[in-house]
Amino acid sequence: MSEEIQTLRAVAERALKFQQYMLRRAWGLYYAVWSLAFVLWLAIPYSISILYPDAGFYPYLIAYSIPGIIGILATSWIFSRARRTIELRHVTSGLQRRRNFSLIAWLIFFAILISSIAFSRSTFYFVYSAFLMILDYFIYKSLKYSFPKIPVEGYVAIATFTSSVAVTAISFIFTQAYYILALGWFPSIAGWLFSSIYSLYHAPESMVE
Amino acid sequence: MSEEEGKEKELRLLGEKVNEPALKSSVRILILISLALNRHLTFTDLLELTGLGKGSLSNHLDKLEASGLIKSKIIRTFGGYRMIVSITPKGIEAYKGLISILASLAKA
Repeated sequence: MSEEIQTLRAVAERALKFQQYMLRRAWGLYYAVWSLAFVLWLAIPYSISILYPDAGFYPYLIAYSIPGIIGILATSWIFSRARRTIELRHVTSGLQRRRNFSLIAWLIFFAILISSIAFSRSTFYFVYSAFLMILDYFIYKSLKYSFPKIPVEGYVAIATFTSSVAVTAISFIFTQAYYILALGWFPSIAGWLFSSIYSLYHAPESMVE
Repeated sequence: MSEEEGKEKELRLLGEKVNEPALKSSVRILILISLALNRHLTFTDLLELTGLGKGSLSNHLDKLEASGLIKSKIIRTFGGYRMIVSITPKGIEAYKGLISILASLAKA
């Protein structure tokens, strides 16, 4: 390998080191956006049901869609950075690029999720729980690809999200009581808020390590 | 010739390979790669990335901007005015050129 390529590789590795700092900050914002989305998903539909019992379908659709759209935009923003970083890391390390869970796969899964509403309620709950579990695994894999070693706040986010997913699935099977479902998401709200603050505060350490 | 001068010479040759005279410096390549990964960065981010002084960084940014690889603008934020530096489509093409050279020679 020529010296110029070795020098370019050294520069790319320095950029990747800096990228750990940038990604940690980006993940910090990601946790904050989703923490807020979880709060809005619980609070707004509940408020509508209390204040306007005859509100109908559309206020709920808007209440669920807006936090979701904001969250998806934040997700797309952070994962586009992470994807470009992973591509560069693979080039510098000479590894083969792995196949991502593609956009088409997500769209198919969303289509199955939405169409399952047409079937029985239990079918929808089953598909929804499966969706959350896949999402949980996807977040874990994305963290693993974003950093050489998953930071502390990443494990907190994964652990709290996993507990919320488990409570959601169990509540669907046994009770379908709203308050249990809501309580189940409190660990994620608190955990992701903590992860956000922790990662934004500790991000500069990534450049020193 | 020192090791650093040797590296700079090698990068000049690399800059010629991607047909971009502005990329004959390891600092400018570093800035271009980071901008390609993040699409835009603040001037403060770039100071942290490069470890340079403000004047020196401004000189490098001027060269990259004159070549059309990046563009900068001043925006007003809650904390005052901030300089945001973004990569241009030409800059992304130059980055892809660098990476394809790195990828193809790494395989060889």
